[in-house]
Amino acid sequence: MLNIWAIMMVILLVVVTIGISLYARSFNSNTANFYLAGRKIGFMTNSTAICGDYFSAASFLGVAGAVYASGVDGMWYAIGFGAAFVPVVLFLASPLRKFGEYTIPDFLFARFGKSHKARVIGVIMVQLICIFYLAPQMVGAGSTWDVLVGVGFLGMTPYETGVVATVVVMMFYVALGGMKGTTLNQMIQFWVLFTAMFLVFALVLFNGVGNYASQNQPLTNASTVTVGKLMEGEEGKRVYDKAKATMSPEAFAAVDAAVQKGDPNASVNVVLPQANKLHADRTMVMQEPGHRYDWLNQFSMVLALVLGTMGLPHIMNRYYTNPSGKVARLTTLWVLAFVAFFYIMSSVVGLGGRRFIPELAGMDPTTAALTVDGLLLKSDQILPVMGKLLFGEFGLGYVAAGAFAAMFSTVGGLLIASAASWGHDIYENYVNPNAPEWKKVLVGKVAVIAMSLFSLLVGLGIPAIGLDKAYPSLIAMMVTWAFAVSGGAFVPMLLSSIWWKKTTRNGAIAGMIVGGGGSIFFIMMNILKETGVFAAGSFGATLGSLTFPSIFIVPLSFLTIYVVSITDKNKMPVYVNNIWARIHGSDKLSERIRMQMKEAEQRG
Amino acid sequence: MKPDNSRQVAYSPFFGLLLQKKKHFLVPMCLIFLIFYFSLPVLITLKPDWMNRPVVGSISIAWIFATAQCVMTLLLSSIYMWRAREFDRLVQELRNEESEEEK
Repeated sequence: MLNIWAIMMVILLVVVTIGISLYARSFNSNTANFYLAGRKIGFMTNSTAICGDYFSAASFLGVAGAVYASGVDGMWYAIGFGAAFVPVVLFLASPLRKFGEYTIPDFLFARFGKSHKARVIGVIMVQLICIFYLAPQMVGAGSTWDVLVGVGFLGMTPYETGVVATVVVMMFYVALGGMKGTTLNQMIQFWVLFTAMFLVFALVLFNGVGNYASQNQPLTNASTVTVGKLMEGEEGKRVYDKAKATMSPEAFAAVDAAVQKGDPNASVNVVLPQANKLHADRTMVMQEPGHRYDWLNQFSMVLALVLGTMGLPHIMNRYYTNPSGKVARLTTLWVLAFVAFFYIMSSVVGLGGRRFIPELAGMDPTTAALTVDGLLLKSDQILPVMGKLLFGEFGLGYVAAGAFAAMFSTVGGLLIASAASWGHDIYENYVNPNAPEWKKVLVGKVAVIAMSLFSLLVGLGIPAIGLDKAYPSLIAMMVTWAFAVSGGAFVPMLLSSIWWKKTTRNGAIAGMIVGGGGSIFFIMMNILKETGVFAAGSFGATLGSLTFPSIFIVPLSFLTIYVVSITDKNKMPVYVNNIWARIHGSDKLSERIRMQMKEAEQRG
Repeated sequence: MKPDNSRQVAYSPFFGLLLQKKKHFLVPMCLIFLIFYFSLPVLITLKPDWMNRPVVGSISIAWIFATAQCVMTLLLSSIYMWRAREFDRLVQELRNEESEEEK
């Protein structure tokens, strides 16, 4: 479905984005400006930029889709992403900012008595988290292009075209604009995606959400199966019979026609009642959770969602750009208000979809092609479809621009965070400490380009290894994995090194390795199991049985930090009390002590 | 400028008091948050019937509880902002006291 409005609005967005980067180019004369926008960003700019970082394509399209497909279960993402800011506010935001370093690796270096080892391990973890978070954005870019533009160029599939186009635009504008350009862009991109969501939300509210949720009928969803699968088993218990009982006679006629033809490999679209995974004996309804996970995975996911935000490098770097504690607090309050409102809007749109799509899809042939018996085949398409049904072609175009804005702003933030880590933490400290400013900025730009090309490979590689077939809602899954890795790698380390004075360097390093490495290991095992590399019942499959490892890994990482720290007691940094005053004092006190420590160092 | 001045800051009883006050505030806040947050998955696992009961019109407790999580997030953070100002004032007092000692 080639759509002129959608293409025009996405192109307009790209033109504005690049224009801003050209404008911001003049600010990037030194690295402090390139990575942190000179620390002179107001609270409104910064809070919209954090929201831009935070609302990726996955949350723009995915949350509404999850509520539409699973009901209350889909609310988990909305709740988790919002609630995750509470621990950030309580334990991290203000101490990290007062400590006054650039990045999480810098924090590690200064906190543990100038430990190079801790910093390098921190850099590795930052890069791993960035890759884990960039991967779902790439998948989002590809599938959004597939849905909204639907054409491939230069002999590529639409999916590949989407990934390549996004990477090229991102690479160009982030390398050019630096943190200042990215921040200004994120501000504009945030308003594009926020107003797009608001438009659909307002139209849904205006027309009435409907009462699907309260009807307590069994939850049904559309899916595609082959005729062979459909007719498997004894009569009366086949998928065919279930579908016949669920679907309307008119819709089922198409299924019957395919069955009559007799080709077992032909695929048909059916609507089926969903199973309750949490309570196998209960009927799955929209009002009740249990569509997606059993209790163990549910707990683990809830934990990953609430902790993961604390370790996301691109969000945490934002807190360093606040000039004062007051501004940092105002920023957080605004972020929370935007996040809460945004996810409530998404959930309402998801609910409204259950009413409007069956009612209106029949009138619009392109939408009807995406549905079966009034239900969307791919729930992630709900936002563009609703935009089109309620506001015509313009609505679809606006939502398309919103989706790409969401993707650009998240990828931009990640690329800057990743480049800051390569350029600042590694190059400026270890490779060439005496490099002139222009050279340091150049290295940052090269890092942006290198990281973009790497994520391009990841984006193209994911369908090639069959990941998209192994996991039904791949984007949401991969985002939660990124949260699990960042939660495991950084959360126990940050919390204990800020709030437990006796944490030692070795303790922090061991905690990061166990938390980050352990999470990645178990996620890989799960991927190998789901893609069928491990046979069912083998040892590998047992290792990979948990989708999200957080529930074991996070406590294990805390325990590791504790045990390692108390066994090498004498390794506390010499100036631990100064460090403590820097972390927990007021703005002026922290700044003064930082200066004193610097002076003492220079005197030798 | 005395380089050891800052080391004394951390040892001064006032600073200890400040940190203690912070902890006395943060620990209960954190507990409230964790209990409220995790009671949602616990309740839907253990009490599905209760969570499914309609309260406002036909909207079930599960939906209301889920939305209340967003409200809780805003509420707890606002309380923190309000208390953080007080902590900053305490540190200010600490600084004043210290500069009197220096004279």
